[in-house]
Amino acid sequence: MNFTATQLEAIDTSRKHLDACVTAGPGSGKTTVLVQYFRRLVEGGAHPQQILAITFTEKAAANMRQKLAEAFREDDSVRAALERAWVSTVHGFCARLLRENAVFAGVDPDFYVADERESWRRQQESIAEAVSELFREHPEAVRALIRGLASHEFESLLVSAYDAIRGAGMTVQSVAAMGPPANTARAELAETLRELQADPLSGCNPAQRHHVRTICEDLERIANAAGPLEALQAIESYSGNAAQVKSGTAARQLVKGVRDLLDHLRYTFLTALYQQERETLFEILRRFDRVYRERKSRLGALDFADLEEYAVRLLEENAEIRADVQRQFEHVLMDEFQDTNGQQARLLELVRRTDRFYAVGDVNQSIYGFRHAEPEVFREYRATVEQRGRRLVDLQENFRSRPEILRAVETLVGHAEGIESRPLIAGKVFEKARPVTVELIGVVGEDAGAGLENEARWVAHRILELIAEDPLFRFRGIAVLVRNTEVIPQFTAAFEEAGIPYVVNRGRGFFEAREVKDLYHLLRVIANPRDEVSLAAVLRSPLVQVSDEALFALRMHGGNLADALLALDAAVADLSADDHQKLLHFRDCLHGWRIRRESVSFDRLLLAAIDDCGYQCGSWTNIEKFLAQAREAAERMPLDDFVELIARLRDDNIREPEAPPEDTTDAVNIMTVHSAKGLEFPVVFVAALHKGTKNEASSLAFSRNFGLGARWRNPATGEDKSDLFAHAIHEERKRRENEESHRLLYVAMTRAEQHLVLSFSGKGKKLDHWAKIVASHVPDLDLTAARDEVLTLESPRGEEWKLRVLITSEPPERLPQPKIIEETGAVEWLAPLAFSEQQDANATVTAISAFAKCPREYYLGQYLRFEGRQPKGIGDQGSGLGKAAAARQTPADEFGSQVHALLAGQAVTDCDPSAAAMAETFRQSPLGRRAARASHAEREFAFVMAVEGLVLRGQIDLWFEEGGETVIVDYKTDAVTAVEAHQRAGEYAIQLRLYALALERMTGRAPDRAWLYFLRPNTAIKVDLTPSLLDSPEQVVREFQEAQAKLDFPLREGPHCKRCPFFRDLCPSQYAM
Amino acid sequence: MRLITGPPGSGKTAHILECFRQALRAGNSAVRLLLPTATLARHLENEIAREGLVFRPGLIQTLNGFVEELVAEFPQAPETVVHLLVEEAVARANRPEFRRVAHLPGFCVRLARTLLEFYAAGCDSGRLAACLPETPLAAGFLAVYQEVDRALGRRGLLPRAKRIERAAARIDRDGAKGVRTVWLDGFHALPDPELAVIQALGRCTDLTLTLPDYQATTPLRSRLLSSGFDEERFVRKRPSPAMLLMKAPRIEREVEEIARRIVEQAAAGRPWREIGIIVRAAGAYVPLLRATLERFAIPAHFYFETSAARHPAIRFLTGAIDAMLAGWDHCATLAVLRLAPRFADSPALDALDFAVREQIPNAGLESFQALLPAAEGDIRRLIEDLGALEELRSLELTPGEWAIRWRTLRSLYQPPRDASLDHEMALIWRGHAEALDEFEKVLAAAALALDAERPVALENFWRAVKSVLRLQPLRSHDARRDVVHVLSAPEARQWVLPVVFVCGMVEKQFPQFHTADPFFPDAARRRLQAAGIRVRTAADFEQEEQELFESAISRATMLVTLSYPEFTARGESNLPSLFLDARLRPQSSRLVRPVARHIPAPVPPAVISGSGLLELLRKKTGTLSVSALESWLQCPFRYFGGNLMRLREAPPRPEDRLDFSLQGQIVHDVLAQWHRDPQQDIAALFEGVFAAFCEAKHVPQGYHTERLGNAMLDDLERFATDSQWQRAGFTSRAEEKFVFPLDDSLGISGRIDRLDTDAQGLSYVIDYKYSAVDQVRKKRNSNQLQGPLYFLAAESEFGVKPAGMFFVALKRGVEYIGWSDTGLLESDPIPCEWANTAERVAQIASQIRQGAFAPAPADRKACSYCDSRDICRIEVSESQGVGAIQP
Ligand code: SF4
Repeated sequence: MNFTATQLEAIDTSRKHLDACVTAGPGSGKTTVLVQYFRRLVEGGAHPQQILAITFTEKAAANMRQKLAEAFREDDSVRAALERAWVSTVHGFCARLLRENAVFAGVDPDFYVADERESWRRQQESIAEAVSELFREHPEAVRALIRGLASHEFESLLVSAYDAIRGAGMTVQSVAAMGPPANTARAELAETLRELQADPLSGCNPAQRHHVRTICEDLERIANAAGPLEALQAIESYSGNAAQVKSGTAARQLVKGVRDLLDHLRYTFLTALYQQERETLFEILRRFDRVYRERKSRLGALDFADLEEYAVRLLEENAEIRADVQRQFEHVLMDEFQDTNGQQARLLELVRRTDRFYAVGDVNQSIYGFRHAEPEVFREYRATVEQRGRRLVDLQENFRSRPEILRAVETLVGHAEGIESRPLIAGKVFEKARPVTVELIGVVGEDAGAGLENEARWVAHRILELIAEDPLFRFRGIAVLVRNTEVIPQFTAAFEEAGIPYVVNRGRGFFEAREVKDLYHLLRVIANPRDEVSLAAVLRSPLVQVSDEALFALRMHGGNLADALLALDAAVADLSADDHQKLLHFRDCLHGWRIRRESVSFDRLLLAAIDDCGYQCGSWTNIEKFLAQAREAAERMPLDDFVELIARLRDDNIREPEAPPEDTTDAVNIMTVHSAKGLEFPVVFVAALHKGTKNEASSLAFSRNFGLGARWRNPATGEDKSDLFAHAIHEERKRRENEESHRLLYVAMTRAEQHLVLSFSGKGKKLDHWAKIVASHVPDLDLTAARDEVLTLESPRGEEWKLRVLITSEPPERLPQPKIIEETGAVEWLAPLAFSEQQDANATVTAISAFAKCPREYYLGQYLRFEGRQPKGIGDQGSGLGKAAAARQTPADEFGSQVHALLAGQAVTDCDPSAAAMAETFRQSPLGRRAARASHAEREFAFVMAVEGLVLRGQIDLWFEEGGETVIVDYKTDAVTAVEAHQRAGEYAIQLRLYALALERMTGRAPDRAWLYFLRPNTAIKVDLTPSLLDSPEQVVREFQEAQAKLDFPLREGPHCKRCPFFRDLCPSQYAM
Repeated sequence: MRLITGPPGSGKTAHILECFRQALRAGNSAVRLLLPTATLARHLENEIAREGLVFRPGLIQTLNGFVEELVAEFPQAPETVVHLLVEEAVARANRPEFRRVAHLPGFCVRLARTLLEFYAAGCDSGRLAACLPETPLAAGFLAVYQEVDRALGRRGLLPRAKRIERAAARIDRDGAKGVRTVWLDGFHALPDPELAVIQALGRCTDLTLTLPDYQATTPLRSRLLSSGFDEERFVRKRPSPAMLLMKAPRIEREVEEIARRIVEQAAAGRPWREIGIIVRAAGAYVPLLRATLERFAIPAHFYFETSAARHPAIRFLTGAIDAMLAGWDHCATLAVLRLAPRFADSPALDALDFAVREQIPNAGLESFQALLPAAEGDIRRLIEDLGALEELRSLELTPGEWAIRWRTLRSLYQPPRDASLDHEMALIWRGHAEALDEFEKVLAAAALALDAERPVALENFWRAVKSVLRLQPLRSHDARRDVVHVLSAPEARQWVLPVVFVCGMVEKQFPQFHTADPFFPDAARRRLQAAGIRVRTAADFEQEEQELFESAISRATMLVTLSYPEFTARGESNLPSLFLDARLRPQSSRLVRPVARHIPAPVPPAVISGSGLLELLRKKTGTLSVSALESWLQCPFRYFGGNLMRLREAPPRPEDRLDFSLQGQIVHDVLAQWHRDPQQDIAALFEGVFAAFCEAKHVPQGYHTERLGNAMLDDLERFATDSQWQRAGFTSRAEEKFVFPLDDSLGISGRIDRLDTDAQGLSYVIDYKYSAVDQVRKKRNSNQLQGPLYFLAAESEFGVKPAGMFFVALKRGVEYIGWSDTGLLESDPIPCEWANTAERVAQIASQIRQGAFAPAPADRKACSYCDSRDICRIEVSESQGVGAIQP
């Protein structure tokens, strides 16, 4: 790899023990530099674990890890060490640090990081609880706050302020302690008043003098007001008018300034007036902080801000750990340093040792002010590095864009406020020249709305032309960048009209995507089909696709739509066959999904629905994202809660980005400039330059410098007005946003490699926002006449570049739709194979026997293990839970086991006397005596054998050899009479035949006799062991397996139904006793 | 003692099995084949039985099972019980270093995990105390450990490892219960206690142990050799399987591609059971594999544990008790009923659900029952059965008694009556029974953890149950034979299958990333190892990962396919696992979907055309309200969904009940009453009306309600003192409902908020809008119908001469926006189009009756406030995500 001189300087490790600050302009190869630096450090002997490399995004971290892995592909030991290397985002770093030091950090060692959605939900719950709690305790204070605060919906604003406070590394307490910003309004008032009063008013006429006197009186009233409320009222009664004071006089000048002064006084007095309410706000914040923390800790969750806060706290409080960490990290590398917030900056200070820090950044690309990034941190660090004579490297070469594009950037925004003017030096050699690489399209007309639509059409038009012009350009290499998502629909509409495939990266929001709504409503219907809006939405969706007529017909059926669907039969008048069939199909499917609703995860329900309904949709990636959310939610919450959660997210308009498309999609990217940061495209359109963002003064705002500010209701006017804090914050924000807006344009334009198109639309000559900035640098730009020409401009560094200017008020002519080449490969449709052998691999002999008696009873009782009719317990009136069970004598199965154990000669503790008696009965019986005499006897003889591939486990109660015969005995403790015993014996025949088979296989000799011994009536019944063809053990096992495989368990009705716990309940048997 | 070593596939297991078979054939039952897991034991048992041999089941068993028979009289402390005891011990020990974290749920879990690791390594608190490494948290840990040891002692419980040690001692003393030959197969790691048992067995039986050749097993091999084992080395016989690498764009594609390849194998005749999927990152893959394999109709057995507490049957039971303890909070009670399988698709429960939601928050079983229609016997019975639990609240029982009582709880969990199930449902149901069994075990474990003799109140016992339950795993015993086996990497170590997939071959997943133990960091662990306590270090973990990988790829006899996703769900690239051989060129996945089970018919036309329905439509639209007509004007579909169909949503959440519509109703009601007597105090009037509405609509009290109430009152007071409209000059009538015939077939209905008539008999229609001025100003387009229709109503129904119509915006300011011929309040002149209103309305009515309701919003921005916006499928704001070109 060929490095430039400055790049070599940047990756020079001979000065690795000096703090370094690398300014890396756009396209200057900063990732390569970082990776190379890392690599050289390792090659120079540093262990990968001694290097901490922090990137701004996960994507960048992944990219870096990948490049490092490639760099050390040949070196197994380094490659393995890289697995545990500290290359991650700040959050990743904090999480690992905290996990390894959880106890000292005071965090749950098994903590998980709550994602933004979850954090949002907990914050909502916590703020509601905090305010409710305070309201319960101090209703008057909250009432006063509600009455005073400009905003009705202050909770979400408070939560944002809270986030900002934490991002700045501050606490609610420290913010509450901040005094108002310096304010001289009162002093100025006194001064103005003094000067006016002292003014001789020479040359003024009496009316003018009178007016000034009135003004003085008014001002005096303000200055001497008894309290802030009176002062505010006095301000509103101020009647001065500079026009009525003689022009050119000092008095006029003074009076002119009074309006501004009064405004400042309003801020001042409102601050004083609402001091108490302001304290209430802090009280809410404190409580919110507590509640929110408690909730998280109960769950073992940390949010992103916690990660930073606790990591800072860990290092601040534990000198030893701090020293260890600093010792461990021989080198700290930080990417995008300009984007760190206050908290992160603090963290880095704690982690790094002097002269071990290597920061890369570019103030010109700092666009994350809304996320509390503080580019000053970078500037200060750079200044310190410079002062201390450490390493300063400036990477000015740009290896991304054509030189003309760079000149355009320099010319159009290079000197704007907030941009450090640094040259952009083209470093990449392009094979083919392009005649014009920068364009400006302006659509100017009477109607701004139509203008934007036409602008979008022009963009579409140019995309098609560019694609046609250069075979290297693909749709996927084109990005349309906008500042404000509001304009996206116009572009998507134009692209659809022109047949251009596109992908919206951060469009209208995930939860409003059609396919997500379809699935969401389906889940709602599964949760409760009585929700008619959801049911109708599903019925009309591609899941069912019924006609409006069918909906109407259902409704006319009366009652709830869901009831009508249930009652649907062939007789619904006026329902087309098609609709009818669709509804019936859906109804059956719905039943299937509903009975599974709590047993399978929601994503499985949805997938089943997608396949059951042949659902076709727009974006499968969105569906997958929703499925992933559903899958994950199913681990934690019931269906009802999940649909409720999504409903809330939708209600609160939570912006959730849509799923990123798969890489292979050949489509134009439409995205915001913010999401394009770090990306590059051959062709970039920066569109809707005229569109800014709304910067209304928020009712509650926070700034690191001024604390928390609010807008309050001015009781004197009923209008809303900032307090001193809010006013200062607003001014600061205006400044910052203005600067950041320029940097945003800078970032947008520098994404382009080969071709850059800037476009705007507007009404008349007046341009706004970026359009204004751009236009101001194009000399003699005439917007009144249509034109298409190429201008030659000169960059600040004196280099010429060409700009094609197209001004029009008309839409472009329509071009033929492009042919789209499917690259992803067509979908392969896979037909499911037929199931086979879904039977169990093994069974017990008793199961086979039960099956032989009645397949259905076996199915319900042993296969599904339904409990059947209960021995009365809970439902038993007055018996109380378990009382019956506890009071009963030895339960039947326990009793049986005791008898069997006794007969096997085992000791039984707490033996039921009747069990002992029963055992004795057998011992005294002829069979019992024979067994006692036997030459060989086995009791409780367990075995494993396979019959027809089915592995059977069984246990023979007793077998013995006596008198040259092998005899099998099976005891039964059933409560039956002797007559009944004979009736039942047949039910057990198969069991004994299986025992005989096992014995035969084991001993090589077939048993001669088998007896069932019914202990209660003391009756022995001989069982015929000669298998008939129909119910040979093999045949029964085959039937058993087939029944399982097909899940077909017929009823075998008979007198045993009476004993069946499912009779007349789960079993449909109609057997008449 | 014989040690057979050799690489995977060298025939170690085959040799052992052959020896075992020979013993069986010879009728020798003094043998044991001991294995590490029950799954494997069951698997081999089945295999051998299928070969035609009949034998006693205990001959193949787990080492644990064998030990169990020897020390059955010492009850083992389940891990969940140890965990519970750790919680108590932490509280009792009250160590300052743990104070900040002791209450956090994961702390005790983590501590218990480390503690169990020590136990497993045969190191109790005494042994640890003797060689406690110097590390900041060691003393605190030891204090807790000692507490736990004491607590176990008091309860007569032994940790698993201790029991094994006892078993070893017993074998040394009494011999191996007549067993003369022992084979041990499938073991990879042998902690000290296990090793002790094996050595004891080796002393009194003919013992053979196999050990695979992995780097990670080398230390164990040396230990065995030095403790007297003779080594026999087997060399590789089985040919290496073919190995493929596959990459897919994302995890979903990866899993689908695996499914595709499985189906391909099956279609070529391979039984499902010959295929395995090995998963290292279970959290990411198992749920997705479940969903995907199910989707492609691939039967699979997942050998993974899930959380017992999350099982619906257990959630039902615990939910019932929790609901009772919460005084039958309606939400909690409803959630329990929702889990009752018998009512999973019950319309009656659906109706009850909404009735409950309309009133929450609420509590009490009686009021809950009152919401249920009388006919719903089954649900009522279940509610009554739940109510019977109440009797328990007053009891104090010993833990054992509680456990017995709670056992009968399961009878509350009734299956559905319709038991005709498919395989999936059958599997689910069989799982329910297992879960209920598991619940009984949880009860028993909770009882074990508590003082056996001391009666406790329900709450105390219940707390212990929940604590145990939190960590109780649940394993499904899917007994189907012909299924694909989805295995964890450790579980897979004992399997050999023809075709194996190993998924998730990416960084941090395979090899898995192990974070350091918070109590004993690596350095401390190395010191412990040096002192003879074999706890694992980072190096051991790394070695184990390597061993798991080597084992995973050697499980297949024919084909092993490794796979990984290139990108994460957020589109970030993954780093392929460092275990992957760089020479393997990855194949790409294909895009595959299962064939839909149903092919939808094409979209029908959006017109009602059936004659009967058109007739009904005509009837329904015999009278149209003014608002319905306006709704039609905004969008025919909005009219269809909102006015004609009147589709009802689920009840709003309590905090949303005081919505715009209800606020409007309240304001209108107050104004109607106030106009009857404008002298009355509007604030007092408002308070009364507001309170009545809130009660009727179950609007919960709180700051939110207070705030909205405040705002409404402000607005009303502002209106009451507003002097733009000179009320004194008019006589007013308020809230006047009307229906008048527009023509023979159409009536128009509506309600005039106020009708003011001046001394000259000129009347003005006033319509209050509880919206902000900006919104109301939009009404000023002449296209609207409300004004002219009210004019007609005023004339025909109230016999006055209308001279103007005003909307009054009331929210945060009062503004009159309207039309009049008298120029009152800067009004616009009455538009001449109003004269044609009757024809226009007749025309609209006829359009409505034609039955075409395709969405066509006049103002797209208004779509965001339309209740039908999700039904109509109009893109309200920005367009579709991926712009597949619309045909
Ligand atoms: S959302 Fe818009 S298009 Fe859809 S029904 Fe409502 S008004 Fe019509």
